[in-house]
Amino acid sequence: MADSDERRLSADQSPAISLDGVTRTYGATTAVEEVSFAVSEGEFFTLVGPSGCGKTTTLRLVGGFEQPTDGTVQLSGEEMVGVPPEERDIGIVFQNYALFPHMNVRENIAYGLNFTDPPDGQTKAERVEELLSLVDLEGMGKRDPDNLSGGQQQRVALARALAPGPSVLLLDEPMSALDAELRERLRVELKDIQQTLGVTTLYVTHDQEEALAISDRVAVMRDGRIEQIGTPREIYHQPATRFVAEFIGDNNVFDGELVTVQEETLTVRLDGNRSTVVEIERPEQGTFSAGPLQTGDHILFCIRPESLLVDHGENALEATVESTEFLGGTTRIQLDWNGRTLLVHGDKTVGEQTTIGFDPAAAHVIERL
Amino acid sequence: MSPSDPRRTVRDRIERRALAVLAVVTTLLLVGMFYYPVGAVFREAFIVDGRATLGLFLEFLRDPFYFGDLARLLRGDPLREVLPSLLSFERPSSIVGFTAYQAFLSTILSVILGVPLAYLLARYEFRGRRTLRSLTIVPFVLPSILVAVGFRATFSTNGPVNTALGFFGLGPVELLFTLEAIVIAHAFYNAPLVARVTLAAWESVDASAIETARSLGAGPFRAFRDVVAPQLYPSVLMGATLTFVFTFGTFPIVLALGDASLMTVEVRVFRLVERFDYAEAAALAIIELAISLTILYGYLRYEAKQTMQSRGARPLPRRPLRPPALTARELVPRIGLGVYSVVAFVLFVVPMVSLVIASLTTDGGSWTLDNYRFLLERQVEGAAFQVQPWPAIRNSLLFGVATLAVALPMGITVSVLTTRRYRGRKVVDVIAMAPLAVSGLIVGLGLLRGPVFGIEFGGYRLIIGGAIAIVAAHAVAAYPFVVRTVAPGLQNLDPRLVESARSLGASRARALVDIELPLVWPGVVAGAAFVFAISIGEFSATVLLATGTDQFTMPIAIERFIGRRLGPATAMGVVLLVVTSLSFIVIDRLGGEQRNGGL
Repeated sequence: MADSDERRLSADQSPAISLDGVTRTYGATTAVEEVSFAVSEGEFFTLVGPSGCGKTTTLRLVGGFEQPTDGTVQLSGEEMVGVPPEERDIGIVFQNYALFPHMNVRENIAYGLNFTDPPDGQTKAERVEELLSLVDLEGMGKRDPDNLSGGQQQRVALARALAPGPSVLLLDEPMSALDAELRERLRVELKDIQQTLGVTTLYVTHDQEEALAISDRVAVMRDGRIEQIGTPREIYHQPATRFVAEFIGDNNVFDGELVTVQEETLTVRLDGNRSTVVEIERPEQGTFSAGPLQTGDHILFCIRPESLLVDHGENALEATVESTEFLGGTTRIQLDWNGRTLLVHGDKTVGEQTTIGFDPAAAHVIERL
Repeated sequence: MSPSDPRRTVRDRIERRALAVLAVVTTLLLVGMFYYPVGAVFREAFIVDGRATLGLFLEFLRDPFYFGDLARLLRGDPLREVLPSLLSFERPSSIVGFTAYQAFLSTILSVILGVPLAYLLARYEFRGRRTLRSLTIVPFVLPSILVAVGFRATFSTNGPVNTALGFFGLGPVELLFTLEAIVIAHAFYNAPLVARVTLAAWESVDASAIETARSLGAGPFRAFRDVVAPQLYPSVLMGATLTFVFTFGTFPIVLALGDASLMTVEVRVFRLVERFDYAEAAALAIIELAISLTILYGYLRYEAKQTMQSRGARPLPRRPLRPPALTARELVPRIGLGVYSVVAFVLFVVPMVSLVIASLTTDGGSWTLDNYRFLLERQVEGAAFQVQPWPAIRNSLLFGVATLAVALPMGITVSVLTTRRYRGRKVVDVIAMAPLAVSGLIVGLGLLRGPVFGIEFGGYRLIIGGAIAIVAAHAVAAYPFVVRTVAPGLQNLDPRLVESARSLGASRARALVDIELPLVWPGVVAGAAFVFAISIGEFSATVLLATGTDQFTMPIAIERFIGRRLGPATAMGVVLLVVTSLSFIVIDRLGGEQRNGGL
């Protein structure tokens, strides 16, 4: 899982953010457990997971607002435990933006320049103007935060965080208070700004779609632990655990027993209906830690709804249409297959019997049980 | 019953109009109990011998007895002669000057004592924190005469403070009948108020804002200065302004703790009424009202500019009171708080404890229940005690219940009227809340000069008895507190609840009774407790209306006793303390934790 980070790093450069075995407990509860990851310079790295999974605590540990119970946090190779937030060279945007209510937009953005000189020999005023134009708020400098829309407040918060030119930008669900349309527009702008500046960004969200859309790499968290780290495509197409498979997008997860193991393919007797045997592509060797797959092993594999095809002869399963949802571009169908629910795309009516099938290459083996 | 059933339509009609009827009745009561009497005071002051005049006011303004150096200037004394004493910081001898001077000192002390309390409550976690926080509401229900008795018991020659000092071979301190005693008693009253408003601001500071400042490079102290302090000082200023206005209009505390040389405007008004100089009393009371309202208005103008939407999404975490490490940074603030607690204990707890102890001891210092036995006596021999204890207790309870019956429906009606949306709501709000800003002395004087002495109505003379006037004065003083406890609840209710009820066939009034009131019930009960406590403790209006009648209440009785024998005064004080404590518990359990108090 973790080899992809090493590939990105040049040998002599420390990662911009690096956590090693970080644990944070509050009394008897563990918020973050044994979390390790490294974010390279300029990378957009996202922590995604359901609420309470420890993603915000992880961000706060990086920001210095929390101290780890165990493990180390490094920024650009420097040990950060015990270093207060003001000495970490970070910028942060909170979910509620936390704009200083007694300062106008300009004063908010300029605040960090009280402690650092603006980059590139700019004056304070020039820097503020530059940031106002960067976030498309020219001429709004004298406004009070209260008189701005949610989207504008969010941009002021972003400009304020970026003004001192931090080496790391921390974003704690900055979009979640906005409506869906605005969110999509702003995340494109955010990504643009991030790429223009090349600032290393740690982003926290519970929205898996947002995570896939915006990130260079994603870490999926659950119950304080990291389930998988990878590019959005890896996370989507090659989920490492059942949780990741089901949390990221719609998915159909099957379990079954290996009947045969061949050079290219595996045959699996499905647990849902013992008389059904399907053929799927054999994953590369070495994917599973406890040795190669063998006949008799139990495995989990998944097939995305868009790859599970109606009226398809290969790997056929008999199912009944339970309900349909018209989603515009496609119609999502819920099928009942031996008491389990499957999701497919297609055009069927409720109550109809149908045969669904899939290409062996469309199945991804998640893990050996 | 079919829709055409006549009984049903009659009931429907009544119900449909119930709210309008309540509004009209409330308006009439408000006019009769407040606006008419206050109007009478104005008429008294502005119309002399049937002619409108400003003469009385000009006389006051030019009289150094009232306005000191300012009056000398207005009379035409050269600035050169007046300026040195105008600018000196000595205690002014004029009445208005002294009133402002003691209010200023009281405000300073209240802020000095109130802000550390807010700091302790906002930033530290310890056992009893919530209780301590609740106790800051006590000044709203504790009769000020009680504080006066408490101070008399504490600082009397054989009271606990001088006994303690004597034990160390020090003292005795003579604090009674001094400016210091008055200022300290005012701080007892107003420091919790300052703490309360400051605390509300402190608790609404968003931790994210501080963390953002830290992430941008500010150290902990800088972040406090730039982010926390600007959000606190408007509240500190609000607490200070309210304290100044309250202590500028102080009456019972100065009456009981001061002497002839310590006279505030309100005490002077009272003395003028006692001498039947009604016109002068009215004019002086109006001057006081004008000064108070000017300060309040100036403050509100300022506040409107400063108002910030607090988005305290995530409050600051509280630190444990026990220091986690023995470093200077952890220890210094905690040692400061320790010193503060000792001072606060002496100031806030000792007077109340002394009150209880004094009620249970004889002058010689041995335990006795005589003081309580005395309360039950209906007839006291000798002329020394014109005021009998038992009728005072009985009157207080009767007036309390009667006030409740008037003020609670009024308060609920005003709450409903001021939480609905319509044009002119702000005006209604101001008209309904004006009694909060007007001294009880003015209301009492107005009621005395108007309804009590009699109003001519086309040949008939309408005379309202003293008891009814007292209840009216109490109701006017108390009902705004019902509004303050009930209205926020109504405001926060989802309007769709009432809309659903009405779509199902309930009238507006029915929806109020069936849906809204049950949901804001705790606020209603808390409001009722406020009303009862305020009625029981009201002094200013009652003392005017009860003079020369047998309608006196416990606070009036205490004031009469205090000058003669401390024992009975303290015993009655304890009774009053118990009643107000019970009210406090009810308010605290049911409505005291309103965010920002609404108070």
